[in-house]
Amino acid sequence: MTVTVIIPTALRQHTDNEDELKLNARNVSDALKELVTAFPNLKRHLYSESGRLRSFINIYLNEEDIRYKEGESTALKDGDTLMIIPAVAGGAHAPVDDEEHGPKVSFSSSEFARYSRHLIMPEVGLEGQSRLKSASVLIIGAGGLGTPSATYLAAAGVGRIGIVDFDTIEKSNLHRQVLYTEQDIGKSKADIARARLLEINPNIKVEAHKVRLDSSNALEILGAYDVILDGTDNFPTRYLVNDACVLLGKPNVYASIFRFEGQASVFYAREGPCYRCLYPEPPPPGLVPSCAEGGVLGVLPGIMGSIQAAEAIDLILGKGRPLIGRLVLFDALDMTFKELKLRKNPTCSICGPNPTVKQLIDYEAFCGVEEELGAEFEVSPKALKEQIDNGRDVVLLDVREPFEYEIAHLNKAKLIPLGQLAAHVNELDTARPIVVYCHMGSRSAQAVRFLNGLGFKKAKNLKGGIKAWGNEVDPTIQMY
Amino acid sequence: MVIRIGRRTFEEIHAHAESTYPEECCGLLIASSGSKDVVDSVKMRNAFTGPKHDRYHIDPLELFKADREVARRGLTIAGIYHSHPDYPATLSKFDVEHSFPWYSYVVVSVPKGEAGDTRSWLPNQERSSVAEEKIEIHDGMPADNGVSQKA
Repeated sequence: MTVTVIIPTALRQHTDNEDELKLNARNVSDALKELVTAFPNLKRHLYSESGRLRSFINIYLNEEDIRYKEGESTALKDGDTLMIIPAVAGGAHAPVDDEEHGPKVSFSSSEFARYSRHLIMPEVGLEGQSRLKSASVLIIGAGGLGTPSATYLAAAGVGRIGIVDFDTIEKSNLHRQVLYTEQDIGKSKADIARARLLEINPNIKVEAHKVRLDSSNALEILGAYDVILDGTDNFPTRYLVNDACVLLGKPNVYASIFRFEGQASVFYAREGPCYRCLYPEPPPPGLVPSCAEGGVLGVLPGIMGSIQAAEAIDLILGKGRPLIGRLVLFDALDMTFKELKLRKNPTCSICGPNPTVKQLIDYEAFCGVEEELGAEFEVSPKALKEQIDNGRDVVLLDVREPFEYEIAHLNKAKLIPLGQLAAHVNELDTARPIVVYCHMGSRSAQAVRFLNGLGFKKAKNLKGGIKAWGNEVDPTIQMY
Repeated sequence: MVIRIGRRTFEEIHAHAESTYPEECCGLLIASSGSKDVVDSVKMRNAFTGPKHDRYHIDPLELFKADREVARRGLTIAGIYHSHPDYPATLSKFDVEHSFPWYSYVVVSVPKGEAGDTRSWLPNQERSSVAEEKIEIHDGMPADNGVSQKA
């Protein structure tokens, strides 16, 4: 394949002042090798001593960064144009390990022993371990993703780890959140995680932020860390974390999980796309179920959280090829990894050249979190119990899936899964009072809205679902 | 080592640095081929997507296009200039790690919005240290060089 390579003006002294060169090559790697064979003085400018293409050299193929294609193995065809472009960046910003701005880190003999398997690898070594010790990572959400990633980052010697979580530990967390035990139920996740991480590695600092992350505190909290790790389970927080990272210029190591499938990427607007480039708008409320509604394989967040920890470490070390511009899709049933290339969206509302989002917004409103039903369309578990005890005529409608119904259901409840409600609505009587329930009250709220729209004015939602019924009325109900 | 900059170009760089304060500005130093005689400058957009008061980034495709235009004029990009709002005109560690040994790096310190101390730095091949280059400002350029003003 005959391709043209365009040399930047500053490098032409090494190419006999040629500005364009014609080469024959099958792929980008071959083309560059042929180029440095013809002009050996170029080699040290394009390649590091270990023979890798320098990270500060951009190679564009027909005006597109090869990082968004197949990298150096991108195939070439006749007439293609390769451009060598220096990545010019800089600024007064002092990194954490800047000698002028902080003491150089040192290690005790106990730390040398602890990190010995890192220290003997050339990619880490003393310099890399020092970088880890000087670095700070904020983990947002100490749940399925946050607990494995925090565990590995603490063990690896990341000097300062922050944990944001205002929640307490529940029994249903324990099948995947392996940092917690039965004795921890009811206690603060951030506090327990902090204590466990310090047991794993007493040489680090761990900061617990027991707050709900929102637009009023996100910039301050995220601003104090080098790398942000998103382990959240809801869209408003995910967009909040993305936007705060873009505004602060920080890398956002992302993962999400559902049932048997996981996704991971690094959203770093300075070098690649952000979350909004991939998903400009959130899905309609209720369309994508959460893990609490849809379930998740316990080991899945262990795998995805570990990927996040590995990415955070790569970013801190400045080694390897981070998941910037790449989305990894993992399937735990088929045991496959797939990779999608992500591109920066030139019209992205926050990281594009003409952003419309210039500060943090109201993310609950942006994601259209489901409005609560009016009080007249809701009934509490205790009120429902009274009605039943008083012999009132109430139709109980269960809109969960059949396997959920098998685990537990209310006495004499009629089962019509939400997805089949439209087809079976004629089985219901508009004149009779109906109380709709599901696991936690979200699907049944959708069902009530749907039924109200069809003229079922007496349909009400059981607030908190069968879970609340179990907590407040009938402790013998099997919880799940 | 000396880098020669025409007074008019030098003043334009200062004006650019003041206009973007408190954010960093960035641009290109244009010289006649193979020399350090800076006859012109080209303002570039600071494409860094985070806070720009202590960072700059030049978009690769914009740099490519500017480089082509410079080549068309028979000139070369001899260096990069950028400003340090409320920070000295020295290269930060980040600057050095992201530098190229074939460019001169001119840094303008902009304390309280007013361009001041301006120094030029030349990185070594390993990007581990820099040596200062003397800036020589001279009059009479660039108009008499037959070079059109501003791409």
